[in-house]
Amino acid sequence: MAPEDLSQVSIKHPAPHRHRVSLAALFFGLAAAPAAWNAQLLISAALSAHACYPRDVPLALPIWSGLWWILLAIGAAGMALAIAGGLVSWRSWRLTFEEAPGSAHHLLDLGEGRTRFLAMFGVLASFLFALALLFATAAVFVVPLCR
Amino acid sequence: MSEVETFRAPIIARASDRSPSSQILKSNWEGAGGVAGWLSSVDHKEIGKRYLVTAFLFLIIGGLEAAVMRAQLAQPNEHLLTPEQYNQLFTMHGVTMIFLYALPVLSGFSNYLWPLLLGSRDMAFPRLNALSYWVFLFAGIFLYVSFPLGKAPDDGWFNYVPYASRAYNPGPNIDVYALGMVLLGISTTVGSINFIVTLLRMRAPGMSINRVPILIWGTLTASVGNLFAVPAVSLAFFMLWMDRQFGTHFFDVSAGGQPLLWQHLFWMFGHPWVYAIVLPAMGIVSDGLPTFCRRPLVGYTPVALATVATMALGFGVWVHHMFATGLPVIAMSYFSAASMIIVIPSSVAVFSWVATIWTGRPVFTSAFLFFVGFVILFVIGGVSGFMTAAVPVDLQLTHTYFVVAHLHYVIIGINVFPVVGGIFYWFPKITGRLMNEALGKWSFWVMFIGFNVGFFPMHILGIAGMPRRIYTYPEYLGWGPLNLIVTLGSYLFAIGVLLFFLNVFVSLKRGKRAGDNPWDAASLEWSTSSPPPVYNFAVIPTVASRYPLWEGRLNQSDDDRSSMQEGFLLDKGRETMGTTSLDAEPDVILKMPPDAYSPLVLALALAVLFIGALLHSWWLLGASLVVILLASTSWLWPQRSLSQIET
Repeated sequence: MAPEDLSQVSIKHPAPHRHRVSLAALFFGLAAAPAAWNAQLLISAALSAHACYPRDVPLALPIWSGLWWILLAIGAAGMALAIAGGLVSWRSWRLTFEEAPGSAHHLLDLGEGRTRFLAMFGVLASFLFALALLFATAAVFVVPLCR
Repeated sequence: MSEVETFRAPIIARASDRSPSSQILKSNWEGAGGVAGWLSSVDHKEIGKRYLVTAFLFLIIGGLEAAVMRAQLAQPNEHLLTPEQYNQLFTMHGVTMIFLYALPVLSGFSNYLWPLLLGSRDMAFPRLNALSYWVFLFAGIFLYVSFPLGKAPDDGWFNYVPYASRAYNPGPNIDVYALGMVLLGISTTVGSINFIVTLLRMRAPGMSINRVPILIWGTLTASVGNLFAVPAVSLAFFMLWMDRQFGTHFFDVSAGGQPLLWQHLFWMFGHPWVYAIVLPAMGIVSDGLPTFCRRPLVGYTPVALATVATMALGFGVWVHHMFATGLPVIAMSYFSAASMIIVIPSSVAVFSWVATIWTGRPVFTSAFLFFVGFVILFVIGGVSGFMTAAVPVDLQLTHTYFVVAHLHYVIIGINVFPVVGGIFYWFPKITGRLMNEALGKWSFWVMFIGFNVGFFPMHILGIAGMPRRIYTYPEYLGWGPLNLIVTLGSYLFAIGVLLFFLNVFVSLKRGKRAGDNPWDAASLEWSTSSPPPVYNFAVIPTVASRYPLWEGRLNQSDDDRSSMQEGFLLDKGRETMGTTSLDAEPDVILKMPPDAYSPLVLALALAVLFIGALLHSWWLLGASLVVILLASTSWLWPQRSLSQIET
């Protein structure tokens, strides 16, 4: 049996536009924003916890004076990566949105068209995790660093 | 591997359960029967039913423990239980419900349903599936082994050090818990691997990733989550056992260890686990609700994403269980933010369910009532969880009965209600008979009212300052009347659960014959007989849409329709179709293993190994290692029938 062979059975291929977008682009669009959010969480929490509580006694001020800027920069870098993921997914969506009958609303409801489904998955995931990044980064403006 | 066997051109035929080819399939797939067949079966349907029955037995045990605790707390100054007995009861209640009921019951659904939902003849690794069940069973027995001796785990299900350390808890209580959890982790891990590979490899031709039911998304997400989460807790329990038995100091602050490390490792596992025990249950509702609303789920794509996103975010919230430990505020704020943002995917799912009901034509069956009840309880449990995501609020609420209320709304509301609804929904498929609807509605209303009467006042008790895990309280605090209401409500809830079990037993014998598709549902499992034949499908179905049995009414074009009657026959031994990961293109013929004793023997040997470790019986441990080696060798020995030997 030859792989990628749906011709033996009488159905159309679920992803007729799969050659328009690379798997790498779809994967980057899906994973960039969640990975950026996760990296921000782990790096920022670990850095700030160590800076404010390096040994046995909690400090009133962090051991690094530039901690605030470091946390902001991590948030900004994460946001840039999330936006990049969103843009790549958006491009994938624009290239494949006609993969199956019906509009974006139809895709959201029934999910038809595998390539455009994963592209839309990436758009939505990027938006959600960009929001999570924004929400977490906002903490540096409203929450004291150590106490 | 034999190219001829696995890459031969398979025959495409038209067949049903009444075709002559089905007799061949039946003889290929049927086990030995009798006790031998029962012990060696690797049929996913058998394993799924065993998971369900065992998990419900643990639910009953955990429920009885709760009933005794509620009798103790019904009045101030009660002395039905000693403090030590109460500690063991609340610990075993939590351990039983969270580890031995909540996930295993969902594994039962998924094991039974996955191949039927995906259009396959079994899971990817049938023997691993059997191993997963046997290890779960033995781990459950192991965790209860010291209970009759009055030495059960007694430090709560999250087992904080230093109370769990040997200095403060010298008996075998914590060692049983530590080793039992490592053993249970093996079951969870192999089960998760099986689900993931099954999804990637075993879908019917045409069932691309965007056409799988939400239950599949839920169990897949839970399985991936478990693979990342379980190692943290297995490691933590192993380190604790080493601290207790061999004098290591991982958690011993006097020797430079870190008690907080326990909390980090436990909750890195614990919170994703919470999502593992609710996401498949949410999938049950997402797949069942549309059937009773006579329309597709509103927003399949965002709900699928919400399922995955919830688990991803769920790995960034563990510190919200540790807000009172004195971590720096900015560090906590990241976890607080993540805990709040998780409300977005949860709300997407809620709005989807509400819109499905709102725009559908609901049929008020018992299953539908349980699904709607779930949505209401999900919102209440979600809102109380959102409250504890805020650090200042959590500092007031932590370790109070408010948290007990929240976690019961989550676990009973988002697990038990969908599970019971799911049983009403799939009981006809599993047994061939319908459950009694009148009794079903009674059980719903008694459970729903009893649950809210029993558990909502716990919020108020928590705000009034009642701590969790106290075995009694003085009268002057004024908590008596509300505690009495809680006890009466929870007993009413238990009566509702009893009515449900009664319904199951009565319907097994006297239920109305169901037919193949009594609910006129849309997914593949309803295209086969009820109960399904041992080989599941007479031919491997071909899938052209998300709702293969509703294509006529959804205006699917005539030249692109799913086919249940015509497809790959695959009748040369135990065979099913291997397909590609994204688009489910036919790729390879998979040769599936026959029934085997090796999973049972391996699981038994693993259990004995852990008993040896518990008793410090090194010869027993060594002997079990030898059996493990032999059983593994037998398991992995290449077989011609599986095309593992060149012909």
